[in-house]
Amino acid sequence: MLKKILTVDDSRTMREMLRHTLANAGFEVVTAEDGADGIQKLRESQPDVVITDINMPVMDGFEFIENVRKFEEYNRVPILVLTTESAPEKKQRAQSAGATGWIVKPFDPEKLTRAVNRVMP
Amino acid sequence: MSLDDIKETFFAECADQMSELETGLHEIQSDGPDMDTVNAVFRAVHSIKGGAGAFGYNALVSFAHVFENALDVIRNDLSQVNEARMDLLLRSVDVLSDVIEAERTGSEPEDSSGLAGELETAFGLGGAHEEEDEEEINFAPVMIDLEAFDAVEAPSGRTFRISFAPHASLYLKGHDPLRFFRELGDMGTLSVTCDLEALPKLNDLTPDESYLKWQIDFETERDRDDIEAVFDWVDGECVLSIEEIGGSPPDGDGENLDAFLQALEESGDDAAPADLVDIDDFGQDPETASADAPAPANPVAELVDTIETAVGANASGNGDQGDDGNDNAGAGSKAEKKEVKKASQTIRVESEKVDRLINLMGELVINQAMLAERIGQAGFGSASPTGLALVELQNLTREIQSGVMAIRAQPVKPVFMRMSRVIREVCSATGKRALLELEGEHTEVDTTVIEGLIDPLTHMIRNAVDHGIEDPETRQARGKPAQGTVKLSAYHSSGRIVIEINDDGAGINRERVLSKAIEKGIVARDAKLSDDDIDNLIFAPGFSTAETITDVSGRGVGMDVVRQSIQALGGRVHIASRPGEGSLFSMTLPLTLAVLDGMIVKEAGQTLVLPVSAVLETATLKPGDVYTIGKNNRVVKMRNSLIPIIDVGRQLGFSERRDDYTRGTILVVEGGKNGLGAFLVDSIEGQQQVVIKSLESNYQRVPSIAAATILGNGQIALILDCDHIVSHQSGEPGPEIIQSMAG
Repeated sequence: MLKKILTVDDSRTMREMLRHTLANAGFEVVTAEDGADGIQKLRESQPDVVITDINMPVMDGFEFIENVRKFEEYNRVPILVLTTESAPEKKQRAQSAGATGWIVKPFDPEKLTRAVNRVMP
Repeated sequence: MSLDDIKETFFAECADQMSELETGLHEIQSDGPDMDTVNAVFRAVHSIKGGAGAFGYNALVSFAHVFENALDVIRNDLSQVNEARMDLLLRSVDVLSDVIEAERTGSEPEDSSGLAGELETAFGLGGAHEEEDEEEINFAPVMIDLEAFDAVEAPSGRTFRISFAPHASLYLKGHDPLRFFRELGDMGTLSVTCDLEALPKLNDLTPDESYLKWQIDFETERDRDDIEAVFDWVDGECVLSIEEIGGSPPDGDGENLDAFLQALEESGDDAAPADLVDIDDFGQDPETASADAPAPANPVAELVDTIETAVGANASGNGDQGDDGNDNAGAGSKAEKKEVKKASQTIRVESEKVDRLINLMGELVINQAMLAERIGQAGFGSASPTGLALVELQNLTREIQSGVMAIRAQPVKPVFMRMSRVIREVCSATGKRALLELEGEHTEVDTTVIEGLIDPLTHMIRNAVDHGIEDPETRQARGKPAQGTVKLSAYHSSGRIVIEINDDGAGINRERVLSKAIEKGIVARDAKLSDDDIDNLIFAPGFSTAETITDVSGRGVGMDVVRQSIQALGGRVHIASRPGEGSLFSMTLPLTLAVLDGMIVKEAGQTLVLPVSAVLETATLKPGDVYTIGKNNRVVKMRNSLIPIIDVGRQLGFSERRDDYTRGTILVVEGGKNGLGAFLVDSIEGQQQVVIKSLESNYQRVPSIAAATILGNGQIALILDCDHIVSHQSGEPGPEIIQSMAG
């Protein structure tokens, strides 16, 4: 069975880019538009890895990660943060929210795939 | 989906983000900053930058980056907003939009570094772009180095001893010790020992506590930084020490990765309960797992039970376990459920598909009218089952129609927002100062109308600032605020949308307009024109006051082009001016270009259609109802006022004036700003929905006729332009009649 990745990003372009890249790398991809949508999709799709943006409407990435970690059935799902922001305090916040890793946009398809494989259970 | 498709998506999204950005900044400018708006604005730029980076649009990325940083200053402290900064941000919107356009068309983007510099100065961004390891995967900046595997045979690097003791919280962040080892394995050779010393007896074991430690002897050509980078993301989640022990690994000369993994799996089996790791993770091969397990099969099952109960108990309340956020797991998930519900469901549909639906709907309306006609001819009464079924069909058609139209209806806001840029551009070109004020920007109208509106509106706004608003000194001298205001408003009125542009400028210079019009031969030298007629001369073809042509509103097109494009949409434009106080341009447009509810009337053998929305009431006249005013003007007293009687057939020039006004029917029609008119026709045939077919695109513009339609019997009928007829009923030809005679 294909490994499943949930991507959470409010930008349609990013969602399509991620889908394109990850599908090419042989993953099944589920997309969500913001944190709240992400929580719903997480429950529906039971992904192996989650990739999330930080800056999103409705529920931002930090809150999303915190919420995911509150479900005990999901608190071990690796969550990679994919964002244009690279400020150390943001990273710190993502980490304390429960993120597994941090990738800075724009992403290189190869590196992204490698990063995903690295955390893939 | 190919990359090109994604690019298209990107630019479509850019357009959305730009309108979001512009709207937001505008709101901040008029209502002051609030966090939600600032966040939305920031996100818009952020998103554009993110997508641009993915496609390597470097010019766009670098400008968006500075823009974003500027917005970040405001995001961090709302009091940082001031007028000069807002101006700069709004100008940045224009530049950003230009850069996007350049990237889209593949042309060379104009140099935006000047404005970027201004932004940096104004927002104290410290100039230097923090090129902070943008490309890096921070938690694991490691390349898969095949040579490292080759080198396994003859390791020639340094040896480190790493001791790694995860806290329980590490497991709660999606980490798995195995992955760190795997990653190290990519960089060199390692031997891993699991330290089980802290592992308590099963009965004393707390399932979500961490008991295991590892010692890794790692031989690599990389340096300490690379190793630290592997553990970068678990900084604070574990006790880590890395110590260089030099030479060659102490034992197990270069064990390969598989051996290490196996070792880990074995240790993992024992450790399973301790580190909250799913049993499945280790039991990839359950048989081996149970065979290798130190205890018999039964205790394993018991262990699973223990874990489940313990975890369950833990989740249901006392999250006393070190990590934040676990305490209110229950409450949290409830809140999420609500949030999830709120997320609205939208889909994006190509407009072609909707257009096809609208066309089909038009055909359906015609078809239904034909069916109704046939059913009538066949002698079925309206109360017969067939008649009732027809009524039901009509109701359904109507509902489908309004449903389909609602799909295409859009608020005028995006178009209005664009105008703020137009104003800024004109202001900077002319040195004038003007502010755009919006009203009713949420008014909805069909997209085709909106699209057709952009050009005329742009031109009129330009015109309003360029010709209407005075320069700041003049304004102050006249006791007006230095900054002019252009108010753009939209509202619905009798089934149409009205868009008004109201400026507080100088108004129209009637003397000059009139002399120009006479000079150009647009009106006769001795023509008696009202102020209103003179104002509206600016829309006459061939009228453009040459000396006022500027870079801004010149561009070789006059206001007649504006009038034509509005008329092409089935609309009208009118100007009212108050000298010294300003001008009011108003346009009325149909809400849709597809169908209308028509009142079918007969006049002198012709079938005509009036929009039902314009008809206020119908009546038959008695002899005493008609009064004569002046020479030939007949009026009827209705609704406590005298309404001019308009003999439609005669006004349109296809029948003689009738002598007896009591033969025939009166329709009291609302003629927009021109007041009421009592249209006199032979008879009313009924009401039906008609599909609007433009005359203009196939024939030419005909005064007093809005469009044509096809009736149920296949006959073609003309749809009357009621406003035009009412405004020209006096017999004294207005400018438009003059034009049509001239052209």
